[in-house]
Amino acid sequence: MQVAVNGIITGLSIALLALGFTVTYLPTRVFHVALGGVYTSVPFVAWTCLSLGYPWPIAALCAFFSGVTLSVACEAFNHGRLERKGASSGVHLVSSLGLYIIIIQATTMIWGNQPKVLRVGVDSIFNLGGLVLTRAQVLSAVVSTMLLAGFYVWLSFSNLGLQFRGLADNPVEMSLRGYSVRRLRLVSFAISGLLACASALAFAFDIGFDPNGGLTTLLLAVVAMIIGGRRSFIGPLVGGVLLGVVRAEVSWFLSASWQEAATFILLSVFLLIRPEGLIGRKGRLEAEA
Amino acid sequence: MTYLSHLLIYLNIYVIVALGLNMIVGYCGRLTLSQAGYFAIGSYAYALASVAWHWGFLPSVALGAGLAAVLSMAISLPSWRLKGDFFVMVSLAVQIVILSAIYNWYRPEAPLGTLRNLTNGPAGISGVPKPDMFGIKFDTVGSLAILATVTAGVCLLLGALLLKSPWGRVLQALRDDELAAKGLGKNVRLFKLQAFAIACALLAVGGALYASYVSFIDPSVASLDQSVLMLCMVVIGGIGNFRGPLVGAFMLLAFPEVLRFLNIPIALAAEVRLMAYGLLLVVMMHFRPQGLCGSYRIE
Amino acid sequence: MTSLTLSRPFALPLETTSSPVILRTQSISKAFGGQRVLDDVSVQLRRGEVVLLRGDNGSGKTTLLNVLSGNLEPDSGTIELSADGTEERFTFPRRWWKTLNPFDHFTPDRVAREGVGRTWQEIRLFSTMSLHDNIAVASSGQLGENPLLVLVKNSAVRKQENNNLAIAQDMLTQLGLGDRGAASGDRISLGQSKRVAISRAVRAGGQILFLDEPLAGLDGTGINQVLGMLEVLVRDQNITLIIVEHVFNIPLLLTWATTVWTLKRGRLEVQAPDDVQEEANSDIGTGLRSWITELGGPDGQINDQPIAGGAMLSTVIPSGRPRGKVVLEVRDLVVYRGNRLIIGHDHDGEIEGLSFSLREGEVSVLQAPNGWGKSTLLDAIAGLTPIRSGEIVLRGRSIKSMSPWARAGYGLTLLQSRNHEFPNLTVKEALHLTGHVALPDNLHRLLGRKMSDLSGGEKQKLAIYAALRTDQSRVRLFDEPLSMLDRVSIHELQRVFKPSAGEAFLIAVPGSPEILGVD
Repeated sequence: MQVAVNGIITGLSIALLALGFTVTYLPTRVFHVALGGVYTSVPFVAWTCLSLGYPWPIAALCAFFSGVTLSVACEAFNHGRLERKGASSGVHLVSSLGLYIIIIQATTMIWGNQPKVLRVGVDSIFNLGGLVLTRAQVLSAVVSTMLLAGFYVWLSFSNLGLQFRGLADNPVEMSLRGYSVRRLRLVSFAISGLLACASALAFAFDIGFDPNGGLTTLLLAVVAMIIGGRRSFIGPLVGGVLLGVVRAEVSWFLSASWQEAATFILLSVFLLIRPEGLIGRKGRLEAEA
Repeated sequence: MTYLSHLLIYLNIYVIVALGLNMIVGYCGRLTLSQAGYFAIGSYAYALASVAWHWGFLPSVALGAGLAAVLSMAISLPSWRLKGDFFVMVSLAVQIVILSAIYNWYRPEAPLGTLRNLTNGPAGISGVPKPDMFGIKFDTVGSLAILATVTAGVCLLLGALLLKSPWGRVLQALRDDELAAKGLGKNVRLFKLQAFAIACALLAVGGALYASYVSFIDPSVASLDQSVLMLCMVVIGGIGNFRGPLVGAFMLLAFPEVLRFLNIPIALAAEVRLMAYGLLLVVMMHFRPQGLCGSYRIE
Repeated sequence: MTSLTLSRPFALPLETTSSPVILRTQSISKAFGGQRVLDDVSVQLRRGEVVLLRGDNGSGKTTLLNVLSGNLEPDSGTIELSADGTEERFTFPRRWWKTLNPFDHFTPDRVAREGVGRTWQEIRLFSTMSLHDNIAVASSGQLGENPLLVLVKNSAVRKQENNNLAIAQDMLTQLGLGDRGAASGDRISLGQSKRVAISRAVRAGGQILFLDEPLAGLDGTGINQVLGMLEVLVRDQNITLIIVEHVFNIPLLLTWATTVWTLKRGRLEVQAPDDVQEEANSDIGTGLRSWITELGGPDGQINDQPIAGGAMLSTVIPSGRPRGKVVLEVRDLVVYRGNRLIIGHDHDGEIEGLSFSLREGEVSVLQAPNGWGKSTLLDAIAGLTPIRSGEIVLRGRSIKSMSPWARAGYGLTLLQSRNHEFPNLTVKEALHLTGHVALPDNLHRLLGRKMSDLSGGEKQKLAIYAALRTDQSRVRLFDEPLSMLDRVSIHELQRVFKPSAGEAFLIAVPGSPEILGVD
């Protein structure tokens, strides 16, 4: 039970990043690989603020601000322009990979290659009905849940959320109705950055961070999106939690080094048997390759 | 002279890698990030075979190539179902699994070459012997450069034969319009299997050559950074024809030399180089998506 | 029309012929999201037949074509193929153990290897290859497609390849393209590329050819060339054809076809061509012309402006008052799709653009055959497709560099011919996004439902009302608005296309003025 709960909490964090990725993918069909760069660089900004003596809220705010700005910049200076030129999705992907490389190398050049932590010392423990949770875990769970809930409420009930869902369904029809697709795309990249920041800070606070794991973590998010269902906004949540639990169980029963293999096996099984994901509906036959 | 031979060896390794990668990216139309994994399979197979089992040059290289060809199914099977962006992620997953396997497949107490220790884990395999074929010992840099050039030459010849044959043509058809190719009765799945197997085998040959030259390999040879560098090479040089990969290989070689010229401090050299590649990728996608000399735009 | 006289391959009725059955289907059914597109289709095909597969847009013709060519799996039924001498039987739904066998899938290439070939509306020639290679690659049983043989038995491979290239060159010469072999697909005319595509399918060993609207977009010469080629194929090589064609090209083919398959609402009926002749002639044209006349009212005038490529722009001018101001002006418009000229006319090297204008209070109907470029024109005016040259002036201001949403804000509305829904939104939400939509009472029951659950007809009606919303729009463009609807709905909706005082409508419909009898 403890293992499962640990898995759910990490899973929620994965779900945040997965949702962040989906939030860009569904409306714009851009594979925002550079989001992995946002994920990597944000804890460093927080770390610098903390080292300079600023209190936590300010550090978090700065971190969020830098992450969102970086993500929006990817659209404003890169993807938006490519879109206007009618670029194919592969071109977007390669350019996003290029942006990822630039962000990671810049981060390494500024802050060095060594892993860092955001909190010092041993974390306080909570005992909740037989379960042992660290303060970081509780914080992560609470923030993830609130942010996810807030997003879904916004998506379902607000005007902008409706426009966003409209964009995800049919960007051409949205533009024909007078909505600025350019502006909505910027909104999607901004939300994407926001969710990635939260995921990054939660993980950095719990365990630590370094400049190297960004793309690997993003892969987890994409796997979560695929197994949950990549045609909806709920899919990433389901996939993220499932992935978190599976990885935790595997780590417990076998060993931590088996996690990657387990992730790959899970991905393969889904691609073979249910490529539309847990939540997805079957598309037309000629949909993929 | 030694330095030029050293550069020549690297150039040949890059050429072989670019040839293999071109087959996947330029002829099957699939972007991929698992190339360093297959390169590493070649390196480790060569190292293992020559250090632990005392095999000669050709058998060790063949082992690596064969293993890579079989394991290429890890990415060729998903290519049946997935298109571009998602396929890249699967290839990334394969890369991570290979890296993880190399990193973890060892027991400190077991000797190298037994089933419990195939890679020596983080410590890597050292003391890889220089090639020894038909009685000739290739232990000078110059002789290794000649061996590398011959190997690359053979690979290029085979590559040219294949790509200019009806098989190469059907790959082009597949890439241009898979649905139309299927409509003509082409067994698309089989061709993808073949192309990926040959491409991964080529990558492994490059890896084996690398291991024979540097004599020490560790898991960093399978790192994601390496995959990205290799991808940059073909994307910037160009794909879909013969010239592009050669230009890309040359560029990958020349770039660090140019940086050295510009007196970038050693500490930052690696990052600046990678960052420049990242920037080049972005810029090329905006202004020249077919690469410098390629004939195929990325889809 | 065409000056070609085609002779029927064999006498009717078919049951008396001794030609073997090479394709048979039993109870094929296919549904998409609750809508039955194919309903219990059972039919058989004999060698040498020329079948005309007809039906309205949305009747399931394309789906049937996709099923029979292996591109789509039906929900139930069986397909038996014996075109190449061996008998193959596919039963649906496929048993689960069959899907695990990688060699026994129901895929286009499997079906193609059984002797079924097809062409597409978009032609789909391989773009980075020369025409010569396009045909050469199609040949089956090439030794050179096995990489092992390429390396080991190179001389045998080379010999066969040279033979293959020679055959391909012959085929090109027969098409009159003998010296253009090295050119790529986009450098030849549409008619020529269609014929290359047909040659390619024949070279691949197709005994049954499914042709998807082969005459779309062609002028008289092109039609003659394609039909001539098909006639030779049937006569000399005993190839069996199934031609899917749009209703306007059917009269041309009826004198030659041996059988007609008519799809109506998912059900297929086999008929003899002579029985269909009368029905076909009345289907088209008269309905459209009378609708246009009705729009004008008793004293209305109709202004007909012929347009290059076989199209006609008919403007309905209401009587009783002076003509309204020009609200949209299109001048010398030239639009390309890739390398192909779609809007504009090529006068021996000089490109002449399209020009017309729309006035307030008037409805203009653009009738053009399939493949002419109606959607491209409307998309270009709305900003969805870039233009090569020319000018678009809305309310006195040039809009050609405005984004689509800016144009919408400035007074332009477009109803696309398809893909105009929001599948994951409810109808209410979609209408909320759209603005003030006046929905008639009989559609209010749809409000709570998700758009993806609606039938094609219901979605189309909603889309029409959405396009007629109350807003500042001055020009409303409609791309084939009535194509998916049944007769009752068409009658209901025809009244709806009445512009208010400050508006102009442009409605694109499929049609061919030649057939309408309009000069």
